[in-house]
Amino acid sequence: MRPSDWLVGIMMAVFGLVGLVLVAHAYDDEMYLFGACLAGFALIFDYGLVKAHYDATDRARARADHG
Amino acid sequence: MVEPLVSAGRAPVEYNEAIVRKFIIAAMFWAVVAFTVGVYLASELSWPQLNFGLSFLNFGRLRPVHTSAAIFAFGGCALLGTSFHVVQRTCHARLWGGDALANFIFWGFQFFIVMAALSYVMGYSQSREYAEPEWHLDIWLTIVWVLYLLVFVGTLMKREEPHIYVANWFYLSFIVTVAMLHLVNNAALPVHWAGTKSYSYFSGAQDALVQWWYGHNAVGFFLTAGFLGMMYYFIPKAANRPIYSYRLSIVHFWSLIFIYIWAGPHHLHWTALPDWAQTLGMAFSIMLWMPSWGGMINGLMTLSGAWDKLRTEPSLGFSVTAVGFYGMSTFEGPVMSIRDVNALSHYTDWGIGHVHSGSLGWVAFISFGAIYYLVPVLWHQKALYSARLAAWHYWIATLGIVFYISAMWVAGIMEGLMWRAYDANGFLQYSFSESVVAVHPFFVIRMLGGVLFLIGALMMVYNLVMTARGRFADAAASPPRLAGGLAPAVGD
Repeated sequence: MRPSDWLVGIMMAVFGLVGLVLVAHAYDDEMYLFGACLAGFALIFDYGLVKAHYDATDRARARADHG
Repeated sequence: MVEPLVSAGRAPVEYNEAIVRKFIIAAMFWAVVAFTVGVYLASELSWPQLNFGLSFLNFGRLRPVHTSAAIFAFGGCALLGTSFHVVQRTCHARLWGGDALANFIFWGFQFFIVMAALSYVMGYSQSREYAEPEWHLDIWLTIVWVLYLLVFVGTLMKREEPHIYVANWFYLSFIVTVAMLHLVNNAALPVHWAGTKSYSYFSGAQDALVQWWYGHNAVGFFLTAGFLGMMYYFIPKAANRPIYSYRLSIVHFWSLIFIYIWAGPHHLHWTALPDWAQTLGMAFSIMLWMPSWGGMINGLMTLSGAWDKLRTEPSLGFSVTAVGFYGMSTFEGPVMSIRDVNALSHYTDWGIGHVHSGSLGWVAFISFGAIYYLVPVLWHQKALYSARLAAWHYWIATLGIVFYISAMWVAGIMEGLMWRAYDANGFLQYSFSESVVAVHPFFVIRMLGGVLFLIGALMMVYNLVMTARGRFADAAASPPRLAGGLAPAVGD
């Protein structure tokens, strides 16, 4: 995984936590929705990063296996 | 400019085309959403019963969904996607910052659009034209936008070309100025740190001026400068010709960005704004005529000696017509900014017609041209699925625009004249409701124009999907594009 991927991943994790805090303290329904969606978005994005990393590893291994 | 870089002896660069493809797909998706909501709103204006008494369907909540979907979602995705394509190709460099950052910019921008639309239909709005999202969404957009700026500037800085092509200058001015406008216009104090509602830092006439400084420059730098970047890259590419005059493009750039920023006060004629400020806005708006038409001439003259390409390159019809609409709406705008003309046109549907001649004729058409050009390139196909279908799209959409803007001209001038008519005793001759009844037929014609434009966009989506899947309906009528790069500007 490249350093820039780590940085983006950590940034998204922080956004996810901010989303959860907003949900917990939401003053109105829009902020509740925003916080929940932000947390969900961050989670899915970070899963996507992990998947992209293993997909790239698999591709590199397949290339090596086929010479 | 672009392709010769490879032949200049340098190693080929593996561009990040995946991110451009994502933005192009999103742009077409949001175009259909924006046009559909627009048609629905036009129908509501003709037949108000269509809001069915549901709060989330009423005009006040859906209108910002339409404008945000058209400007920021469709236009924004087209701009971000093409800017990433252009900056990579003209700098001979892969996007700076890695794929994860580019993906964050894409998905973060989509997240902003979806959350903003949801907040509108839930009834939350700052009530600022083209800047309706509340403070927390503004902060999110700022994060995405600053990272977009970093990626764009980072790519420029690691370029292998000594020269920064003019399209990048326009894209960069769009990115930097939109950031500045967004930060100032949205300066606000939230009621609660976890609450949606906020109040503007500005008040009274100052607030109005800040809003229209932002609003007009959203037109100037989002809807004009960014799309001029598109024009300066895609018309020469599609025509396989150099731009007419590189020198004129530089003069166009500096004069446009210097003058545009002062023109906002023309939105506040005959208000509490001081007269000198209104006059300043009017004078700069009239001065804008020259750089705007300089750019139009540069775009059109690029085709001199190559007009035959309009027959074989489907994207060029859209691009060239877009430049024509750009010239027309940048003529109409300064005329409407003259205070005495504005006394007739302001608050009427003439303004709506003017906005749509710019947004449909210029913004949408230049984007359609770029996307028709890009999709075969990005999906590595030899040509579009059907040039004939693209031609049908062109004529149906053009007819839709003509229906729309001519109906709004008639309705607007009629409204202006009815509102200022006095009888012999000095009383108003018409009530407001009489003017609403009078313009009803033109509202229906406007809706029909929107339907035609939407049908054209659906045809385009079908054409692009089939292109991406590698199908060809009329390959003989749509020959593969000529390869090769661009020679120096002939006008220089």
